[in-house]
Amino acid sequence: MTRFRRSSRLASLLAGLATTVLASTAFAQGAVITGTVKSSQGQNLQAAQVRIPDMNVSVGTGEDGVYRITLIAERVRGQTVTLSVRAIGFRPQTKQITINAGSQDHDFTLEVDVNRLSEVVVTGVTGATETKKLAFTVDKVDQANLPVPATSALTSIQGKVTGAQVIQPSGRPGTAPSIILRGAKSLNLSLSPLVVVDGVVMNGGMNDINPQDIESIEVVKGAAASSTYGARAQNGVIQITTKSGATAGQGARFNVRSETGLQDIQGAYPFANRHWMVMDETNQNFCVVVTNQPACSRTVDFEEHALYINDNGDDVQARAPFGFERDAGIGQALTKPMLRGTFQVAQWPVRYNPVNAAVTSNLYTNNNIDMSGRFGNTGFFASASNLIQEGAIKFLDGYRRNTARLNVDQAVGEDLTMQVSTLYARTATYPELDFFRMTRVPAGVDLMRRDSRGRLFIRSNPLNQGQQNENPLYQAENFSSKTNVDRYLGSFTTRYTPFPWLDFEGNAALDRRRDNSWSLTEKGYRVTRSNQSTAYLGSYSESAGSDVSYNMSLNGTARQNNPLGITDLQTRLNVRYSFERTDGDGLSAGGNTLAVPGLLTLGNVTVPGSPSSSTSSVRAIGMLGGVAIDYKGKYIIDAVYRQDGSSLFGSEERWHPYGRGSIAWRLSDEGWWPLKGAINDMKLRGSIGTAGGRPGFNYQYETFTIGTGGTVSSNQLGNRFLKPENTTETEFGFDAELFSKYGLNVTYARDITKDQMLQVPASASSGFSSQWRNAGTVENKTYEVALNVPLITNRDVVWTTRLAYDRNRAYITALDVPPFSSTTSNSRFEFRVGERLGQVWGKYFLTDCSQLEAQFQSQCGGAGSQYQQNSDGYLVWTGGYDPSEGITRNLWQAANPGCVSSTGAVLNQTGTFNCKNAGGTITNPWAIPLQSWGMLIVMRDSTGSPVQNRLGNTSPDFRLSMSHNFNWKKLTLYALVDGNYGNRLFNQEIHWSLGDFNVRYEDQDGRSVETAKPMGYYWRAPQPDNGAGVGGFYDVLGSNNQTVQKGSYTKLREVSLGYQLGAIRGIGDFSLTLVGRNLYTITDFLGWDPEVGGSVLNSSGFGGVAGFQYPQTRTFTFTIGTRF
Amino acid sequence: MTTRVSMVAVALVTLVAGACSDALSAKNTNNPDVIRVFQQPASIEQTLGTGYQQCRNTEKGSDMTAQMATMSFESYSQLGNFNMGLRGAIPRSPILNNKSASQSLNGNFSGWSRQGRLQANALKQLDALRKANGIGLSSAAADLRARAMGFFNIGCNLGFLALAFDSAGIIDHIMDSDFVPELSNYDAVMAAAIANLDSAVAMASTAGSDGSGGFPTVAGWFSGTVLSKDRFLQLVRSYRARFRAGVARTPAERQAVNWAAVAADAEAGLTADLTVTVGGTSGWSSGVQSSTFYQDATWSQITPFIFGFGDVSGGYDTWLATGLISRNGDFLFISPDLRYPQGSTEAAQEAASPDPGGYTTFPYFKNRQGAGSPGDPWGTSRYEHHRLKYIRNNSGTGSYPEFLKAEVDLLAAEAYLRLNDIPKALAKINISRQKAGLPALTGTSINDVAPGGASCVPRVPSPPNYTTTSCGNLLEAMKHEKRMELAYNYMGAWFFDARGWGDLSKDTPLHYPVPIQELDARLKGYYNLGGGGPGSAALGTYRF
Repeated sequence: MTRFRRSSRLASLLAGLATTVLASTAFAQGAVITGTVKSSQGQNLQAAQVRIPDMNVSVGTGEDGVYRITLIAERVRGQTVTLSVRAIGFRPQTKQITINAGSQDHDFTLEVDVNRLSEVVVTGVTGATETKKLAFTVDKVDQANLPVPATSALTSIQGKVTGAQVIQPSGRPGTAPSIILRGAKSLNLSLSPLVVVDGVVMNGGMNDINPQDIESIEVVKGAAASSTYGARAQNGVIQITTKSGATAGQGARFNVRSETGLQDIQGAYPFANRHWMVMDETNQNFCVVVTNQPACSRTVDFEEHALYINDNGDDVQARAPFGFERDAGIGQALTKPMLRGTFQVAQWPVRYNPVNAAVTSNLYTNNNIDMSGRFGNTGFFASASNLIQEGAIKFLDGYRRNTARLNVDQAVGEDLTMQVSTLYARTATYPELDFFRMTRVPAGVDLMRRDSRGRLFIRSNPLNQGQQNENPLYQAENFSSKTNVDRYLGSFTTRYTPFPWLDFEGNAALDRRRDNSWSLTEKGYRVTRSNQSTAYLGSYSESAGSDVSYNMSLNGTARQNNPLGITDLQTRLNVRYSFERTDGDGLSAGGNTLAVPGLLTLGNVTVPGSPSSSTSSVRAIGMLGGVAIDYKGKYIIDAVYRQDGSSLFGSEERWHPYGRGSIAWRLSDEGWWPLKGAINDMKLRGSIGTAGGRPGFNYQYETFTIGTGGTVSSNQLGNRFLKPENTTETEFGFDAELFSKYGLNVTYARDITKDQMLQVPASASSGFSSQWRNAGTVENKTYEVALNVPLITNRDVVWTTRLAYDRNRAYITALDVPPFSSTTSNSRFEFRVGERLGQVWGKYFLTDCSQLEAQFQSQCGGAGSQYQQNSDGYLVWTGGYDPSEGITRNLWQAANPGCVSSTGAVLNQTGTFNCKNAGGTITNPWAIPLQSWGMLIVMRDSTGSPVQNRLGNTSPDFRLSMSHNFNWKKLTLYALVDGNYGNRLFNQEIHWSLGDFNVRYEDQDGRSVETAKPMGYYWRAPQPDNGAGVGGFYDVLGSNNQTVQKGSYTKLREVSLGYQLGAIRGIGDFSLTLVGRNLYTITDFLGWDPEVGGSVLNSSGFGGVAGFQYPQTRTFTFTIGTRF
Repeated sequence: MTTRVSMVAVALVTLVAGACSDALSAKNTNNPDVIRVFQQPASIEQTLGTGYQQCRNTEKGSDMTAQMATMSFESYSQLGNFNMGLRGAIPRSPILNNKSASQSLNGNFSGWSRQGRLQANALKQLDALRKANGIGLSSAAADLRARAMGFFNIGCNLGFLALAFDSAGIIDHIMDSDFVPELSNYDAVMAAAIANLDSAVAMASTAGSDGSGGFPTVAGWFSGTVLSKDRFLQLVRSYRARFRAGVARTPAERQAVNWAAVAADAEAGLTADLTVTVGGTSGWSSGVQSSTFYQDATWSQITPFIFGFGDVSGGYDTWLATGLISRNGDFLFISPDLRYPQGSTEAAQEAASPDPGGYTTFPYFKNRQGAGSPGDPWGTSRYEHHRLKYIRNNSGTGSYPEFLKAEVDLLAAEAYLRLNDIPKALAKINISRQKAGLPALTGTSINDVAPGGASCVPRVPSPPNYTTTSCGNLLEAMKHEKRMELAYNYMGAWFFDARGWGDLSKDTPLHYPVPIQELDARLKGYYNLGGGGPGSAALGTYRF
């Protein structure tokens, strides 16, 4: 019986569908309204939305710009209604029409809306709102702004939204960008905004979305607008809407696009060209050390020797090389006389460029096919895509993504619509190159050389450092791993509009992400030395994890015009309830000592490691009420209250309130507005709102750690009073249109984020080592300016440019724990009240006499002084000679003892005896034991300890972007340039390479006798910091003023040149496009790329360290596309 | 339309109800909390059983172990590692307790935090045990044994804190974890430690504690050995004696120690060395002792300052008479004391000091092969302590002398000297002294000197200039025995005695400040100790 009922329901539903499909022909006595929608340039506008709001009717235009509205006889009563037309990028139009039986025709010609005043946004607001009526900023990027398909969905907004910083932390294919909106709000929590795709609250993994499915992206940058999202929205909200058939005309259309090209790396690493070792008189062979024999009694050919040590019978290990005369580097110190007297000037017999050896142009291909349209009341969009990014490194496979999407819009009768959006994606990510080792390859090393068995050399560098820095390409060729992600996104939305003034929306969404990965170091993997663990035994590991998120919401909106008899008053009341749940689990296992090679199974592991697993569950409830008031279209008020509960908050703090109040005043609509000619549109707006940042899963709990053998030890003291971080944002600004042409948006935002979550040491008496507490405030100030300039807009040519500027400063303004510092990749950051976020600290080499210890300042300055500036601008001890006379007068070996006893004896200060304390006479600033001639001097405090100085900020002073859109007949040109200015980065890759003499400025190419510096000048520091050196910039691993370098850059980010071929032999509508991404970077930064790097706060976007990262790849591609 | 409205309404209600039925609380199923950890008495007992292991591992593994050795002339090193070089420098520098000093270099954090946490947790374990009221443990005897162990653990934790730090928090009852007790002075902390050891003694002494399920201890509580009730009591009382004597910061405080109680505990202390098995997968470690001090001469060597007391060749006198800066430690120690390598030539001594097979083997010190490189002038010698090197030679595995009977004997000896019971004192001193080949002490007054004339041991720097040596008195002879027998045995083996005996170099820190991390957690200011500021040693017995 039940079964019968169900099937009968299905049958009636199908019958209903069929009825609606056939409706257009079935009712001859109804009304038919048709027309064509064109642009002012005369082009037919496809997918323009034509609506009769009073009748809840909405259709889209077809490819030919034609729309057709069919009304059944029952609805035709001779009434007068509004017919409105709206198309993305154009100003909407309305017409009053009377509905009578029969046909009527209404054509529209829409003007280009360069400044998007009529654009409708839905994010952060309580109902769809036109931009010109917004009381806060919501940026919108739609298809028209995306001529260059991004490889990752969020990269799309790069350079297009003021205040949105998009950083690619690594150029490795498949790496998702980091986004920071209006600066860092939190010291510890993630800085990523909340992302919602078609109603699915995303659980990370934005790379799984196909950017070509995107219809529009709305960006809400801060709490002044994001309060509607409550506890997850302090970093802002990005809402992505994918394409749909909602406004499609009848029929199906196909869109095929195939992009193919190459990707490579633009930047060059500044490798040293020359070496320092001892060669024989032919300058072809290198001297090697033979015990008890004079120097150079034996010589070897560098490359032959590399072959000798690699090409041996041992399957797993390179043979030990001979010791090279005067081999030097981090692993092997030269003597001090040599450090002072050796100049890196020797020619390699053959020179290779290690980067050129590893970098190659690889395939980049992106194929996309979609189908969209409408049959009756069913609109649909379906797409499939395939992306292959092979990256730019030999032997590495890069990244693959396949996606399939189906979005369906179904109108059920007049008052109910349903929308289904689904995505399935599968991605694969492969290993990356070890760029750390890459920076260690001297110019004379051939990374691509193979031995007689066809294997790449494992120890391609026979020098001492080659022992720890195996050939990075050997690893690329012989280590394998793969991470697969399966992603399913699905959302179901239904809208029910029982009356024109009332609607309900229900939404249920699911996000399921599962990743599986394995990695294999093959049995027999070669190593460079016997004690390098047991890599040659092989190891294998697997891990898997999944996150399943559900979110659902119910939304009711009531509108009333002229309530309480007040004319020109429009009100909207909105209530919403939402529920979210995320369940995660993870599992990993592995081991080493493989039984046989070539298997991908844990069963092959004979020595298992410790497996681990974890689970987590998060739940949240939000309840919202909002009211929006519009009086005369000029005064707009909006207020929202939201109450959020979350399982992540401490048990005593389960619920938190959020809210917003905002107001806008459309000055230009006032009768008295005096500047109508100059400023034709002017709106002042102000908004204040709050949003939160949720604690991590573990933060609130008391935890013990389970150690080996089941021993438990206390770990974290729980905090049941842990609150979410709370951001209050105040935003002011104006939006103006000048001379009916130029669009200008100016915004100032101030964010105060209290209750910063910090993990602080707990008193030992508590029994635990740490606790998460709310203990600080971060304040952000942001200025944003956007300017739209339509340079030319006539019938043939449209050329517009858009300029965006933003500037952000974040400071710690309160800290309820004592100041602390953190070290990220060996660069130091301080956390104290008044500190600007991103300040990098480090040692400082003196550049100016005023920085010397006071008693020595009188001996510093011009010619003849004891301390003078050298050719690099650093202050050095000269003994009264000119800094250029080091070689000509043989001064480099001179040194000044730091302390002399009362009898005039030079006191040996090595070890623990302190001459200064024993009453000796200080002869060097800060009593440095032995100040070598011409060498750098580190700034110190009165106790002689090196001073930590602020060396610059890793956040830019400001950012700029400029885009151009140019259309001439069938030709389109688009270019985007953006840049960061005024920041400094710790160049860790250069810094560390200094230790192995592998940096361009260490070799003395181009230096004269006067400006040449010996190796010790670049290498380690002398005592008391480091006993081994006499200089130098490498010092130890931490940042200093030499290696914290200018990070400003300007990037030609996106370029596309397209030509519309039109139909070929009557088929399709073909277009050809040349696309370039990250084409060219202008920077003083000495390295691959100032844009990639390590993170300082909990976001790879808030970076400050350029260290051993995959540089950004650039792509050149050719696209052919057609529509039919 | 009504139907639709009602359908939507039903859907609404279902969704809301479905959502609300999920309470807004999620369990952490990855990490246990205190309730889970101490849910079952058996698991409490198991955790209690690891308490001593964790206490002594912390002590053995502390950077302070290495620093106290260089501060008390037990060891010498120029290296920055563990801050050994800095702490050993003369003049002595303060222990900088501020942010600019590297936190790890201060070396006082890990010991502080681990012992403090262990103390708090041991108390929670005891409380859980009390609440369980013995249910779940196999018997009342097992309950007594577990409690005795728990109190012993807390005594160990507090004793460590009282010995090493100027103050610490005492937790004397179960409190909310958020509550942080005020810092108490070291003497109060030691009193609390002693009180816990008293409780341990009381529990273990209760009749029936060695009944079914009770003593001896569970295998693993003391790695490689099980302690009978009596031997457990001996160990607790040995610790109590060590703590009572060692807590004194100055000679005056040392004099004021309850020596009668020390004598009583020492007499009831260990009758044989307690050894534990360390290394491998045991989880027991020989710590800094065997991983650092036996590495090589660069890491550590013994310095003539006090080890020179055994030298009868005159080399030490010459060394003493040379100004600090010009001293050259490159001379042979020639000593009748078998703990030094025997022989009058470099070659003979090298031959006489092969790596030992166990800690009881003479000599305790080794003349390094290829010695003769003086290195830094004043601190170096040709010798290194290698009594425990057999452990290092065996990858850190072996039988470690956890508590030596010699220490108990010499604690008793000092007590008797202080109580002026010379015959009993001499009997105790002579045990190890005669074993080391030195002639037995005789005498009736503490001022009587060691026999042997020019070849007497110890030879002690003597007034007025302290640049020559003379035969040490009975107290010095006792001190010599204790130093030789206990060198490198545990954290502060020399240091705690040296401060009470007044032997430290001027301005040596007498103890460590509470680490900055703890002061941060308490929102209190930082302070330094030693180096001439508060907590500095006065000019010492030997004027070093």
